[in-house]
Amino acid sequence: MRKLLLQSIFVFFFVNGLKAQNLQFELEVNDQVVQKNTPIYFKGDTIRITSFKFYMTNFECYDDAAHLIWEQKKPILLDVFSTNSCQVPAHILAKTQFVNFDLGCDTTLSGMPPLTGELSASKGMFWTWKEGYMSIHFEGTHNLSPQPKHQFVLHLAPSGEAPFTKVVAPTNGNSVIRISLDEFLIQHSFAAFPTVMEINEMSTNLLYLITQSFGTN
Amino acid sequence: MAEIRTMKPFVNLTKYPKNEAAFELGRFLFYSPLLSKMNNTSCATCHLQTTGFSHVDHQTSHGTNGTFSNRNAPSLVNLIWKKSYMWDGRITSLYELSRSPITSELEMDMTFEEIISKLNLAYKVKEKFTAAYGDSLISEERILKALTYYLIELNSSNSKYDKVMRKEAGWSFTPSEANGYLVFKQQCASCHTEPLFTTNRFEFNGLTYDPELKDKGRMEITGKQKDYMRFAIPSLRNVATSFPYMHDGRFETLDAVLDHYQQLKHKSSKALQKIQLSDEAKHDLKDFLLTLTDTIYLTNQRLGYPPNDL
Repeated sequence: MRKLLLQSIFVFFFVNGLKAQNLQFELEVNDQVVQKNTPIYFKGDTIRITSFKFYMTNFECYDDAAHLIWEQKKPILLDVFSTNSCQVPAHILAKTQFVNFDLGCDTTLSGMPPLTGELSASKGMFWTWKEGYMSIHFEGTHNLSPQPKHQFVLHLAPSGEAPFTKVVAPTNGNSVIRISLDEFLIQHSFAAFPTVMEINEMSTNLLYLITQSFGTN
Repeated sequence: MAEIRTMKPFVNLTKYPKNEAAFELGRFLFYSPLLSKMNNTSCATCHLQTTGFSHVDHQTSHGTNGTFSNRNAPSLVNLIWKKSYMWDGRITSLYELSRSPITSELEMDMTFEEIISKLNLAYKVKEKFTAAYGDSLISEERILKALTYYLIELNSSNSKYDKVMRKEAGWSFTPSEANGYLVFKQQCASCHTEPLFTTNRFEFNGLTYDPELKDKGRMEITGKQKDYMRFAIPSLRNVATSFPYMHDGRFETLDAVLDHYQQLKHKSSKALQKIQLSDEAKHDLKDFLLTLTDTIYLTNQRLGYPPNDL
């Protein structure tokens, strides 16, 4: 009887330890979590965000000794307004102190037709003029945008030799990574650049700015 | 039910005798960003094959200069059986169809003089024109004709629906799809008539006017009040892959489209008055609509990105 009880306890902890847990990503402005298409008031501006999607490749979890304890090499598409998330075993997530990933997809995927699964064109991340995949798909409205309906569209990928933009984000055992957009909203002029839809210096700079936003609590 | 492949096209195909090199040139041009001001937009940017030659996930398309158009890019399918093109029917010839996005400042923003200059300098392009037309002259007429050769082949008739209709062995509707087909025939088919799933007419479907986009539909062309907010009835072929929906992409999902018809209160036309969707009917109708996805069309390599050495 006692043996059976111990076995049950062991199985319970083993199964729950292996259970995948969702690593969530949340957008944040002024310490408030951003909801899809809901007005955000920031320094006199009114902003609505309708899409914030990004690819993570070579996703890695590190413990407090900075040892790699888990990794996922394939691209994962994260949509902060969707229920999808990054699935990490619960026992790994509990030990994870920071994560490290490449923002975007490997540029070797460029110059070929769209793939399937996370890389399906139906995900809206494929650049149809044969340049592969965006790293970030960031859309919404900003009162200063001169475009119809005050839309802004930031489809970003890095230019030059570097295929990726590296992100290091502290988690401290938490299952939510925050992406604070305050600095981005201060530094980017939506009046001058409401659309960035090709790979250029501006795109690279904006990507860099966004990589600095992950994991800030 | 007539089979698409046996129907007489509206486009006069005798003007386009078999010319494989002209088709390949058209395919190259369709996928070439050289046709846009900033070399960053091709026809395929807004008409991606794997999503039914539509601009998936984009309410309205954006152009080479980062500008927005005010309409959703329509799917390209079975074009030779259409009498007019664009949401308001402003174009009445398949040959002329490509000119509009190429020269629109909101889309590719080019003149044909600029395109010809670029193509004359581009790698191996003169060889493609020589293969298609016998000499290397690059002209507006030859560009549009080659694109037409490509567009002529954008034909979809191999969905599950087609296979069931043709009584191909091993193909049948599930009970839900079969019930959805009945609902479709009773409530939707007067506008989305088989086998093209459109009557090629213009219709008002209860959508409200968007004061920011200021799009009055067919009235923009005819100037007639009766055409206010009438838009081309789109084919439903590959509808599951070509979201978002309507002329301005206002509905993100098929469910949202069906909700619109289910909840519509002001049914101004006989066609709209027919629509009485219960939740079960809506569910089954959606299942039927999914049978219109033609994966052979969506993945046919002949229509896809040209090989690099083309």
